[in-house]
Amino acid sequence: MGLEIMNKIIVANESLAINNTEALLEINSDILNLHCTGNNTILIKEMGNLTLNIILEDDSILNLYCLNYQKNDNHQVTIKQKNNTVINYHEIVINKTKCNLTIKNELMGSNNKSVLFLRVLSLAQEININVLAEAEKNTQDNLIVEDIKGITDGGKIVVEPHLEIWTHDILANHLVTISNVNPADIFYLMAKGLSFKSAKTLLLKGFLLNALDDYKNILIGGEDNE
Amino acid sequence: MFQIKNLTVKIADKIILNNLNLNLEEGKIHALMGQNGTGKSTLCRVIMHDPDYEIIKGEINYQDKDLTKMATTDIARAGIFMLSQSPVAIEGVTNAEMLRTVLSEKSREPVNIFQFNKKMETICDHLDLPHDFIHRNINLGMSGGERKKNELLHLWMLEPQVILIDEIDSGLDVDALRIVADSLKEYYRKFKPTILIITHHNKLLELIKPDRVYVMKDGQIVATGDYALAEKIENEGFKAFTINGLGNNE
Repeated sequence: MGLEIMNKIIVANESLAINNTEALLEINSDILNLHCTGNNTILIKEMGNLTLNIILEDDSILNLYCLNYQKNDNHQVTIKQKNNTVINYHEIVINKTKCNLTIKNELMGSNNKSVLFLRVLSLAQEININVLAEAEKNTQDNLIVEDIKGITDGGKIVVEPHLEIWTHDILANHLVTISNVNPADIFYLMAKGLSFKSAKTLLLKGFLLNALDDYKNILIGGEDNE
Repeated sequence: MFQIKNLTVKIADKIILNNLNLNLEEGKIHALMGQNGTGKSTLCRVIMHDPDYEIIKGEINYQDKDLTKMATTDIARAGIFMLSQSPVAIEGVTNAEMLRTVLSEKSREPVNIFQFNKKMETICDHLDLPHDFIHRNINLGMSGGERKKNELLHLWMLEPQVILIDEIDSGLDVDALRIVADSLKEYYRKFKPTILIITHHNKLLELIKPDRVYVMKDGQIVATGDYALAEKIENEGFKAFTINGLGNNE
């Protein structure tokens, strides 16, 4: 299913329950409590100042894709996982103004998987990313992967990880790579004949296209949905 | 004539090239040999105006232009191409996208996609590369040998008139070295470019016989000669060459 023909849900209230849903959410409130059961794929464009509270009921899956390139303010996402759940959280941010992102992942039960995938391009000012992961006592077999990559071109990216783990039985990874546009890559491309501007544009575009690669099924349609 | 005059270059307060003089006759194959750390690779990067290196004095003249005063892009567009020993890998940028952009920027005209793809496929066949290399990210996930062939793909697409080959033989097995050498020889037969081969040893030079051989030590040329000089180095090593000891080996 491609973006154009994907179901669009216009959310005016503060609560939404989804079950086996594939949809583009257009959110017209500053708070959304999203209650998930079944297997869901959701796309949100421009989170703005949204506070998004997600609850994954037992045995549920949520693939959440967020694209933020126009309004980057201070959005906050809380993900609560009960038992046997999977959250694949993918977010791309391109910021031109200062912004703060908070993503809080609470593992309340056992046998959950959480992948937090962020790709950030900072073109100006600062972007602060707080990633919090909490695993409660007596939980087990949980997996958290935080995979954050950022590239700066005139801006700044600050990532602060916080882990509160109250159990011995968990696997948690926090992977962060933040860099400027690599001068060696610029030189290589210019030595082939590209102008400085084109070289930089290609590199930034390449970074984003790579991040978008994970979105291809939802953006252009996967085999199952054709 | 590609002429380097009194070139002195430093990086982080260390002099790498020290009053270097070198004339490369047009349309000939030249080999620059020397031990590690003598400044051979630096010379390639300085010719391409790598901003990491500071040119203290000297000139690099090509077609009535001083390359030391030109930007890297303009040097490349003047027809000078560097084949690196360890080219960078670039995530998210494909060979096709980069080459199409270079060609269209240089000619100031859109590239004919059909002809472009056809040429890319022909070159891939010639280099024994699968056609999917055309749309692969530049050097990403490629072995050492594949990266060098990938650089040759760029060379054939861009058709430069001066080629700087920086230790392309390092890390290549016998078969890959032969493919690279055959490709360079064919390019030479077709376009008659000026070639500067930088190498430690004779292996590549046995396959591509140079017209002139230069030995570099401590940032200077300490000996010049024909192919026999390369053979002498292979047999005796670099120890015989000193700055004051040997000016010309002919």
